[in-house]
Amino acid sequence: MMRALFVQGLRRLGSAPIRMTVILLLMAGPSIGQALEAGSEPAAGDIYLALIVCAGLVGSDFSRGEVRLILARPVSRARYLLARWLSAGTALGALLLVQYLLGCVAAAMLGLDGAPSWQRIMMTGCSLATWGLLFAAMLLPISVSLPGETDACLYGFVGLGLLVMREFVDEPTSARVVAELVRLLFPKPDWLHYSPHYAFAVLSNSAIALLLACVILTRRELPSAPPA
Amino acid sequence: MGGPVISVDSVRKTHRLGRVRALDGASLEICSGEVLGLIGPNGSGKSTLLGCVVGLLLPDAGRVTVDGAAPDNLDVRARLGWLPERPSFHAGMSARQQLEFHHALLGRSDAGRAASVEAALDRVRLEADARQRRPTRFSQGMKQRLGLAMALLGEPDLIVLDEPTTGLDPGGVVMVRAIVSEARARGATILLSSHQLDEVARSCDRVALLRGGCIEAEESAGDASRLERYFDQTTP
Repeated sequence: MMRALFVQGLRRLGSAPIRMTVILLLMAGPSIGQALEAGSEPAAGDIYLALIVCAGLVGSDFSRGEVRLILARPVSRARYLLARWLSAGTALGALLLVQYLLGCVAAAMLGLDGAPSWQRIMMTGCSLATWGLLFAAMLLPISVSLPGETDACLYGFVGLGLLVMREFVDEPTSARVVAELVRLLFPKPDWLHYSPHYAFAVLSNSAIALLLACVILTRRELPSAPPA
Repeated sequence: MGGPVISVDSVRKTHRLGRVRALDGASLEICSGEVLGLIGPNGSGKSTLLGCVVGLLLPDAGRVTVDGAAPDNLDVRARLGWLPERPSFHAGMSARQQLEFHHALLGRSDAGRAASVEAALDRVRLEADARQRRPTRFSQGMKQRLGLAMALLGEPDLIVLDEPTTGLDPGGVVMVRAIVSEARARGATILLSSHQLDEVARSCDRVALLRGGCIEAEESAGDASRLERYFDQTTP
């Protein structure tokens, strides 16, 4: 049952040609940029790619009315959410990893110095995969509350704000509190060392976000009539 | 016919933050193996009542039980076949894949999946070439057939159909009548809503008339002309 929901979640991505085109474009740019910058760092927190992959994670099922049929089956809402999260998080992690590897290959082909070691690539891959899962989890409470892909616009504004705020973390400004909060919600991965602190932060934040999403979805009514 | 399977007790339900009252103390019992037709004017609360019975909507007051359990109980769901009004499907899967997906959601083994899916598609007479296509470009009638196939998947013993003949051609209407008849013959309990008085009279054992969110009358299905007369006399 989980496998079927997981695969259906992945198909959701593949069945939207515009979304796939944007994803490919968003992957190509940073990969080239990463290669030209000596291929050592992944495009840090490629937030736009993440937003496109995770947009409408649950909300689109509500807006299109598919959720009426899925949740009338013997599927608990928690299990449905878990499958949606895993499919989006895995897809995002895999895409980020592919993007990073493309950058590494391009750097190697251009004969640039500083090509990363296998150990470094593995470490970065793990960090990217967990970052994908964390990001999908953090967006889930919003996606279960909003209709369709309107969450994408919200994510765009919020995501941009978060990225900007994160840079102010050491500044003695009023934004520091917000920036600290952002850093707590979206811990910045250390691409060189897969630290226990980072892993714990990802696990705890994801668990809290999933729990919150589950509470919201449990209280949400499903449309018995077709969407307008 | 056995004891009550579906019990709706004084259910009240509002929409849009209480501004629209959809159900206003509706009560109903459906016995095991019975086919009950729900009829009523537009906006009388038919789809809301079915949504409460399926467990998608939560009543503001009152209680709905299916075999003594809450309708969102997973054991109840495993026995339920549900056709919503104008069903919508995943855009990325063919008609056959949609049914395979729903078969997996039922928790049935992979072994009988292909046969079960083909049997459901055969039963609703979905054309062979349409089975490989995505339903995004299906006509309303074809979507309705696919929705019916989903509702019949796994031979459920509780079937809830919201306007099952919508968009169907005359052959499709006859097919729905036959499907209801077959399900009744194997002992399934069926609740269906419809605007087609003739269909309800032919297919159902009993009819509940819903108006203003209340069950106004319950009658044996009888003939369509009696139902027509009732509507004619009671419609303002």
